[in-house]
Parts: sequence; structure tokens; C-alpha cells
Amino acid sequence: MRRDNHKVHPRRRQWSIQPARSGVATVWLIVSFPAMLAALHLVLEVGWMHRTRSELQIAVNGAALAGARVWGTGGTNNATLRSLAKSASSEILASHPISGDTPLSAVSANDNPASTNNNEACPGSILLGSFTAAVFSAGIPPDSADERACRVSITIDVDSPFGLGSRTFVATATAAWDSANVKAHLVTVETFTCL
Amino acid sequence: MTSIKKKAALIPTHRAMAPRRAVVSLELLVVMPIGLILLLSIALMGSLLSHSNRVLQAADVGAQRASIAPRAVALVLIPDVVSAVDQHLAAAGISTDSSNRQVIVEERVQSSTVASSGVNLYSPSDTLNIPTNSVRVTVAIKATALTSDLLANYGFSIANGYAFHRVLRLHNGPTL
Repeated sequence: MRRDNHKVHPRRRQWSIQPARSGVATVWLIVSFPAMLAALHLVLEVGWMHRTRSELQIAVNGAALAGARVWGTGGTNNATLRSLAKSASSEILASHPISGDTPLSAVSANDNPASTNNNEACPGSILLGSFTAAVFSAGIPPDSADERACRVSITIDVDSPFGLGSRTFVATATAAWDSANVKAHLVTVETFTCL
Repeated sequence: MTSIKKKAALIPTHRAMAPRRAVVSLELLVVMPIGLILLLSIALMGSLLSHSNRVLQAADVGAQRASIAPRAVALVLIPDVVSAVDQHLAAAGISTDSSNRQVIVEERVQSSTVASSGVNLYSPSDTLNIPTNSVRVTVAIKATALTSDLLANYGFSIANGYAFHRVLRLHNGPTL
């Protein structure tokens, strides 16, 4: 039993206790260091994710507004104008590097002049379509300029600068032309359809 | 059962505890700063990243304001953009003192012009390398205006650092 220790001479006892107590702070540091390091990593990762998501959303908002603006102000709705709208949209995306150096220049304009609203594929990164009563229809040509809308939806993988692998970020924005106020504005889409 | 006398014998004498206390204190003195640096780093980085996001939002607000303004050169646009940016920064509790922040407006809407307001923190190497008919707003803020320089006493000062964000928008204002 440990109670046998009580028989040790007091003087000897003093020196036998010391080595056990002198490393307490170091032991605490060794134990808490990984936890604190993990907390630091977590703070950095969460902060970076939050900022990257905002960067992507801002880029996507700008791209949707650009597409709607060019399509809305362009006059006659033809394939050339729609190509210009899509190109303006992708140009804005390309000008916004995400997380410092991940460019959005590789995002396809999804442009095919032979297709309805020039949409090569639906769903796609940049879509033109008709927007009425909170419904965006990529497969319906807009009846009027005010129905012309551009929807940008981007999904990208960005490597974490803190070595925690790759994260997927998604952002979507839809903008419609407002001829009364002569500007494109962001709208909320309740129903999205490719038809 | 241990007698009181025996128990008393187990307690180290005051004289004998002195060197042990010194060792423990010395150890704490060496270990504490490391723990403190780590804790302060967590607070500093969290605060910096959170406020950096506000700077991004401010640049977005500025770019939005510049994009919907009537066609004009950057010098004409900048007071309105600065006002919008400052309003957003102030709402986020960030100093809008011109010695702490810089706002740059680049426009290729009216003609190709650049205007800057506030202290010179950031000098873009790609000035006016933006698409035709677009505006770009850059907001740069000194790191010390975003958060306290918590690690300055430990040799890791953020006094010379700054956060900046740039947002590009196609002109969305009144047509000619």
C-alpha cells in the first residue's frame, strides 16, 4: 500500500516529492498544446471558409447583374446579344480570384447560340431565361425586356490554405432587368426550371 | 491509522519548500508565454478574419454604389463611394479615419481613370486592367484598425499589415 511511504524520513520525503511537481507546468503545456493548436486551426479554417464564401457570392452577384444588364439594355433579343450577355457575366467572374489565387476564369459561359436562350446545358453555370412571379425558366424566351434574367450558379473546390484539404463552395444569384429604373437588380427565385 | 505526529512529518518544512517554489515559478515563467501566445493568436486571427470579411463587404457596397452612379470619372465618383464604404465600416465598428483606410476607385465607364482616398496602403500593379464599361473598388484597412495588436509584446506585431479587398462591377447606372 502507498501508506508505507509515510515511513520515509521527512527530509528524504521533501526531495522525493520535488521531481513529481516540478514538471507540472510543462506537462500541462504538452497536454494543452495540441488542443490550443487545433483551436487556432479551427478559427483560421472557419474564418477562411466564411470569407471565401462571401468572395464567391459577391463574384456571382456581380456576374448575374452584368448578364442581366447587357441582355436588358441590348435591344432586340438575338443570339449575338445573348452571347454578349454571357460573356460579360463570365468576364466579371474571371476578374474575381477566390481565396487569393483561385481564378473563376475556367467557368464555362455555357453559351450555344443555337439553343433556347443560348443555354448549352441546363442546369449550367450561366443561364439566361425568363423571370416572372419569382419563377426563373431557362427554357422559355422572355416576352419582354423586363423578363430577361441571368442566373449564375457556381460550385468550386478550393484548397484550404491551412492544409485541411479541399472545400466545396456553392453560390447562386439571379438578376433581372428593370427597365423602369434602368438597371439590373438581384431577385429571389422561388422556382427554378429548365423548361 | 496514521497519527497526527506522523502526518506533520510528511509536510515539508518552509525552508525546504523554497527551492521547489523557485523551480515551479521558473518553469511557469518559461511555459506561460507559450500558452499565452497561442491563446492570443487564436483571438487575434479570429478577430482579423472576421473583420477582413467586413472589409470585403464594404468593398462590395462601394462597388455597387460606383456601378449604379451616372457615368463619371473616378474623381467624381469617389466621394460617394467613400461615404458608402465608411458607413458600412462604421456600422461594423471599424475606424473610418482616413489615416487607417484607403479607397481606390477605377473606372472604365466614362474614360479610364483612377482615384484614391485616404492613406497610401496598397498600390495595385494591375491598375485599370478591368473590362470595358466596369468599375472596380478596392478597400484597404490597416490591420491595427481592425483589431488590437495583441502579440506586439511578443515580437509578432501586425502594425505594418493591412487587409484589402477588390470588387469589380459592370456599370449598372443610367444609360447615356
